[in-house]
Amino acid sequence: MIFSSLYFLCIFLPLFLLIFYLSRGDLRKWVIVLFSAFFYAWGAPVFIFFLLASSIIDFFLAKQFEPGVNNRKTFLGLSIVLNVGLLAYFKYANFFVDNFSILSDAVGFGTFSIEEVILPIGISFFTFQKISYALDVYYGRNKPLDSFLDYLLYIMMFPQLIAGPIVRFNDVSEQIRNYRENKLNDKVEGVYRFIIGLGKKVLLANTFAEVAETINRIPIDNLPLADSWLGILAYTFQIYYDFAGYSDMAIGLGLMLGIRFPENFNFPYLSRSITEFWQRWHMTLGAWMRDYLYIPLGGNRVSKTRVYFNLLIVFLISGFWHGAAWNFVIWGLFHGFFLMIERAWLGKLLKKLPSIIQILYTFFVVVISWVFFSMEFSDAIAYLGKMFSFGKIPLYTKVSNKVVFTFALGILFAFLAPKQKQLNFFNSAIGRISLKPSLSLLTYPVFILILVLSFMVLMTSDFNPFIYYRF
Amino acid sequence: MRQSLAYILVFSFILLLSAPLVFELWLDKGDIKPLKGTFRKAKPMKLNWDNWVNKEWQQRQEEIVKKNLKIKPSVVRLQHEMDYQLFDVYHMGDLLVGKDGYYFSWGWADKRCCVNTLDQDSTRIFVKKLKKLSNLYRKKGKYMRVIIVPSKEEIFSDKLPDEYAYDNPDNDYRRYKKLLDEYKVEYWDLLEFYRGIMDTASHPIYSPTSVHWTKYGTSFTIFKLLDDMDAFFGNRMNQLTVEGRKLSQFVHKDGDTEATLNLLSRIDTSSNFMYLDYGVKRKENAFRPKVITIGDSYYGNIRECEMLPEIYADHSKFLYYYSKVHLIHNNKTKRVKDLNIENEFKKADAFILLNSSHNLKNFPFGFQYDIDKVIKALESQ
Repeated sequence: MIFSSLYFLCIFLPLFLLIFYLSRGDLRKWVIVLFSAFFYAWGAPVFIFFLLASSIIDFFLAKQFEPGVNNRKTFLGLSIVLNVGLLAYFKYANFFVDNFSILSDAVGFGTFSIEEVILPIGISFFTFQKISYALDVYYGRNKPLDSFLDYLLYIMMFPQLIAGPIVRFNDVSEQIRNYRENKLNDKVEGVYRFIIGLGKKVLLANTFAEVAETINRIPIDNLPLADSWLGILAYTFQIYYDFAGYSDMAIGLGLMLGIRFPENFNFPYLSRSITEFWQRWHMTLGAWMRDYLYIPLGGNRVSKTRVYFNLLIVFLISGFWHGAAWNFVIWGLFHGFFLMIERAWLGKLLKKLPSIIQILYTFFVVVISWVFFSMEFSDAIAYLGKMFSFGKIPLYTKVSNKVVFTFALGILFAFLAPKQKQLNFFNSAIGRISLKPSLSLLTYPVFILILVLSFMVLMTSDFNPFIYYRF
Repeated sequence: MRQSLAYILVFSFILLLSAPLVFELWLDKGDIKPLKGTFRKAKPMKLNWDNWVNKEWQQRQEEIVKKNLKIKPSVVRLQHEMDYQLFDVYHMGDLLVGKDGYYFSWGWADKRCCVNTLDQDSTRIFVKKLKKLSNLYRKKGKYMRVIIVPSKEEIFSDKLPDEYAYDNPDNDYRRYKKLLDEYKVEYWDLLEFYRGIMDTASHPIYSPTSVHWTKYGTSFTIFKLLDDMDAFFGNRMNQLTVEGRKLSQFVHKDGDTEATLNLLSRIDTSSNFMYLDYGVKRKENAFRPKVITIGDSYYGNIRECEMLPEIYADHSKFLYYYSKVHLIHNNKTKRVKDLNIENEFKKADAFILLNSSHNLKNFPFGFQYDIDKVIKALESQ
């Protein structure tokens, strides 16, 4: 069940909100956890038991991490090994076995295989949250939660359970510990935020996805230049609105429930360097990697060579986190390489150039990186070949007025970030109802329209993919 | 005030989310015009441990919400209308928008200009057997007619988009005709016949927004065929007559493409469509031939001529794509494979093979596998 499915929107969400708002006190936590368990079991009926069991173990292990407890390092090691081990097994076992098999065959030992391991949905996200909890408790940034219910609330809350944002324990520990009735303003802001996300996902991302899919079906050998660019640009906007839309929905749902999740996107295609891009794209993954991997590796306080090496390691793992396939590894290394050269010399050079050039440079590198992200390496090379070959230029794919309109909107919303003043005005209009109730009323019909249009598209079209669901 | 305003906003959001379910309880089935085309409903499934674990039940529940909501047809129509009005987007797979508001089948237009799908070798064998069947029929005093109805893409080829305008001299239609000529199988190619009618007809013979010929357009073939058959059988058949005429906007299949677009508004608003009220001039001891017709969807309007059961024998049959059997005297259908095809042909007085000119992919739709049996049965009769 994804947030943009009619089942979620028409049945699960209204039922949940109704029961949630009718309940009081700690009962609300139970409502969230029970609905979250059902939400997860809907898509992973067997793995819910695995998630619950591993959560019980993690919760009790973390009790042993507190400063002053004997052997706490051993318990931390146990917790990390357990979580990373499970992630490695479920997510990467097939990949490693397949690759070792190819290698073994190449050196004459023949092939071997294992039964296919099924990936539990959301494992990449909740494992990172569990590790975050363990490390934050271990390093004394936070005390472990007293109640298992609170721990389940942190790990299993359905808005962020299967596709993030990756909420570091530090970000929400106080909110969970002192969980109480959320402000009415937050609820209204949550509603608006959810609708914005739904609109991004359904009205924009799905239209871009149809274009990307149509072009993806053309054999690469026959792909004309213009179509190859249209295809990858459509994918570039699809993945942004897909994931950013989903994150907005998650943040909106969090607000409706009384938890403020960290932001995940901040106009990433407006970045002036790849370094900045990673401060604006999937920000919660970037923050997690920084806090729990880059800094423990030495961060910036080591030699230049070591910093470059750390960057490559972080981005190798970031790439691999996205999926057990070589294209993700290459995608990660590709970004890591640009981060490295920006730190070495390109960054200084870029700063001397006009902003528009910096933005175009970053956008260009990111678009190229999506080629690696979206297809196997050999296909990606062939696809890039088509993007830069000037043989067949004309656009063969039929582009409807609707697609042109969606592209215009997509570009507008991706590149025209509001200034702080406008953002404040907008926030006051959509969220801070106590400040500007009249504005809230004025903007409300616009949001209702987005909701109704999204419903219409969802009922009409069978096409509703979600890229980050498989991570 | 502010507090209650916020409550209203949040509550109305929840209400809006549940609106489709509220409509589910409120709307009556009869209130909603069903959608045309490939919209299928999902069947409910009983929950058990197995279908929960393999997620079949969950998927079915999601499908039910997606496909079966009573409000869906209205929402789909509204969405289609908006896309059509605002963006000129049509939600239909096999649609080619031509010049001056003419709609075509993309697949059939493609077969006219660019793609061959008729297998020449197997069709040659079939046509050879068809000749043999025709000889046998003639010998036994039975009537047989092969008819090629001009596809809309052929007769309105000047309205096709430029990229489909090429008249391929070696397309399926011409290959089929060449084979019929080569083996001297008698056939009617109705292209010139209809071109002649269209020069003088003041009502649509083919509608701009349909795939097929109109009911009025079909009537010319019905009369031509029945007259020919009657002459063959010695003028002993009941005669089809026209008792009245009515002008209106298109009804039923005369705008089938437009209907399949599932819009709220009408595209073709012309009131110039002619609908005939048929009657029958009965003859004493009239001969009512048992007629077997094999054909594509173009025979639909012939089958729906409400007086045909008075002219054909009761056990006459229409074999749609040689797959589904439409009976002449009621609306029941069955499968061709459940028929004793040898008996059907033995008892038949007339056989008509009717197909539109650019729908020859998979032609003759399976009859090629049974024609030997039919010939053998007729030879031994």
